[in-house]
Amino acid sequence: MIIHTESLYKAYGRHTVLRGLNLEVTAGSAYALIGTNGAGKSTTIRTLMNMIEPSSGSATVLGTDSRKLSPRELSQIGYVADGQELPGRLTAGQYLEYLRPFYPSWDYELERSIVKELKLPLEQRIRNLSHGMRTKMGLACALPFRPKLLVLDEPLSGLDPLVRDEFMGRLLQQADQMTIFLSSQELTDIEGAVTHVGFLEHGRLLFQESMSELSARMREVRVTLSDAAVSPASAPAEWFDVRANGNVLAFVDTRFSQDRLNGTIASLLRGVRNVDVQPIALRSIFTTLARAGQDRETGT
Amino acid sequence: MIWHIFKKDARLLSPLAVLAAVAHGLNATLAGFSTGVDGLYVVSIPLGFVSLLAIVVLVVSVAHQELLPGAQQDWLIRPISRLDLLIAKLLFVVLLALGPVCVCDVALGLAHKFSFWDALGASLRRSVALLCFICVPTLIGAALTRTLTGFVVTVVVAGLACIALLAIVSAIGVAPILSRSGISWITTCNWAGLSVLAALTILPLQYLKRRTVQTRWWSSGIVVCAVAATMLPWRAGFAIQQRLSPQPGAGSSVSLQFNPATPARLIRRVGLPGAEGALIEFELSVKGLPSNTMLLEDHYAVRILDAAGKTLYEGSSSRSGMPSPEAGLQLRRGDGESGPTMAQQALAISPHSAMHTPGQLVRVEIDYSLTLFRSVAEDWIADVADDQPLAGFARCTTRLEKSGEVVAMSCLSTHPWSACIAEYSVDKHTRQKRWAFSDCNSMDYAPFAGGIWRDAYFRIGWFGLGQRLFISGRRPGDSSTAANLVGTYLPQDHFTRRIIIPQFRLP
Repeated sequence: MIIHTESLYKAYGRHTVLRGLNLEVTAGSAYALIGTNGAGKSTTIRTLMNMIEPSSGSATVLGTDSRKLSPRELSQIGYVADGQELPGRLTAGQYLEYLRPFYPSWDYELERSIVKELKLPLEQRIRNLSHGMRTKMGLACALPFRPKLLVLDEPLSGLDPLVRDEFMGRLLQQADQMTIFLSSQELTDIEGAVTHVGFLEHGRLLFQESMSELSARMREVRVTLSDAAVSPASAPAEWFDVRANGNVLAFVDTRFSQDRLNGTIASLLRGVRNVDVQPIALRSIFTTLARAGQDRETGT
Repeated sequence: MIWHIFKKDARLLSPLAVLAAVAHGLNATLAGFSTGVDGLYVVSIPLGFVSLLAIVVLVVSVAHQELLPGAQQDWLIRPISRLDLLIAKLLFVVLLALGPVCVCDVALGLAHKFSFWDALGASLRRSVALLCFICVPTLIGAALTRTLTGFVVTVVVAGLACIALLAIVSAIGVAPILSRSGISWITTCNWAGLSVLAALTILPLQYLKRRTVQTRWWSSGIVVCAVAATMLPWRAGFAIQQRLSPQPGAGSSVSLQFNPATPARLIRRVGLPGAEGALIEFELSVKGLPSNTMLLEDHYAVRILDAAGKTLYEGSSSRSGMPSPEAGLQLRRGDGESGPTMAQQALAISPHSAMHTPGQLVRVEIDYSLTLFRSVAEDWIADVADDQPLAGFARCTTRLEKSGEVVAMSCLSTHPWSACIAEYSVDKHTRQKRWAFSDCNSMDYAPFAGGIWRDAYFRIGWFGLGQRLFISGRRPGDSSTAANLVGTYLPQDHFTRRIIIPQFRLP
């Protein structure tokens, strides 16, 4: 296990951000931690990176207690985050030069190729770089030592599509050599790269599973009826985001099984003319779950 | 990796370090040209502050290269040993913030004809003092903040808190009694101890554990302790000084007695009606003062009791609340003089409600803390006209003032000054010395040196302030009839004496 947390809590005064988080990230996976703003994604990552201390519970990264991460472990971890404070007075080149000796596995040739590919201006001071360039700079500082674990905290936030493509393209070149743990709102961009997903809501992990399992159990269903559709009063708990529009009833089945779906529809709905079942994109999964969370919160 | 981090910081901050070095150099150059009492010295004082400010800015800047508060800093997820980082920062402070200061101080010492080792010793002592009193507190402040502005705000808040704390303790009658006395070095020592304690606890706590909130509490505690350290009672402080007397017992023969032949009397009442204080005068008889010595009062504590032994009033020279406490005992005993010396003493007593019974007979007890100085050397004043060592402890120069009669003498030393000087006119035929003038400078009995302000050297100057000081010196054998000799007195013994005025009638 590359990352493992057990009953992880983090509170700032009376405000609890993480509430008993239990995460498991296996070696070689690309784990996306998703959730709405304020769900606790960045807090989770900063706790794992020992940038902040947990209030209680435990977290291990590369087999070491996150509070005791030493230079030995950190030399195997790459980290890129939105708003990461890089030393602005140094030029990009000076910073790379400064970092090299800290990493025994630093590959200078790889560094050169990354710099070239990302078109980093080595002579420019970091504080004068654009937001996108700074993010690419973060990646250029995180990849040349071939990290065992790459942690990305909203790396694509505020980047234009071109930079996102460059970033993801570079990332994917090395993705098979490491474990990736990332949080991002840009689900469309990361969908093809992630193997596992964890959904965080109000500091609690609602689920974590592989992308294939998630894709297999989540389906968007549209049932066409002969008469006007009405949301069933006792819709199954696994049906999320149930909406009636004309004679179409749409919902997301979060525990999809063709046989079970057919049975449930037959028992609940009359005059079924057609049932259309479609796979669902990660972004839609996210919005469905997020909306359901909000509904639970407001009691609707 | 310590050196690697140091090199990065040095490269980044080299322009600032060069500017700071230039400020130190200018400061030393101006100080080198000034005698310590001239106008140039006064003009150059702000430069001394600029030099210190440059050190502060440099230390804050190096600490802020890797910010400690916050959770977004890139360096936090780099394999950088935090201990290495702390050591690299301290190395930078020593080499690039203090190093140029030390070099300038050595150069200044050599320019003033001190030996290399004397100059180096003084410079290193100053560097240690700067490290304790400027660099370590600055580094702690910087480790708790993210910007220079934040640092300045923190310093201002801490300063205001100290002032408030001092005001509160003053209101309850506790005063920093050691300050501006010869034993204020004890407070300095306490502060140095606190600084070392802070360096050993707070800096590692913040650098290794990044416990900013905890560190702020600890720092506040240290500040409170620093304020408390100024409140050491006089008796305890002077007891330490007594143990460090260069010649313990040298003043054992000295006795002070109230002279009943001249009754104590009230000079005048001071203060507002209903809250009046008094200035009382009495005569002291001082016996057993050895030849070629001077006796100086460091402090007095006065207690007034009624006939039943009940204390009506307690005060001291440092908290009498009077405009100018006048006890100020300063006696000199020359060659071959004998018999008791009489000294008029004026004692200030603060306004006190218990002192308002006119005609009441009271008992006055005064505890003196005294220092005996002994003449250690005599120099012909003409010899110090060209930057000569005076009495083996300082380099002095003389300068004839425009009037043509008054000579100003200024001295520079690698050690703190606790010296009195006396001027004698010597008859060239009889070789008889005639005392003309004596003066003691502000005392500092510190057993170590470590000034931080202008440079590593201690300055002192004697001017003819309203009185003739030195007539331009002539050597014996000159055609004139007299030559001037300057005698240097150094502390030998610190001791206490109590005098009692058994019956003093309150006016």
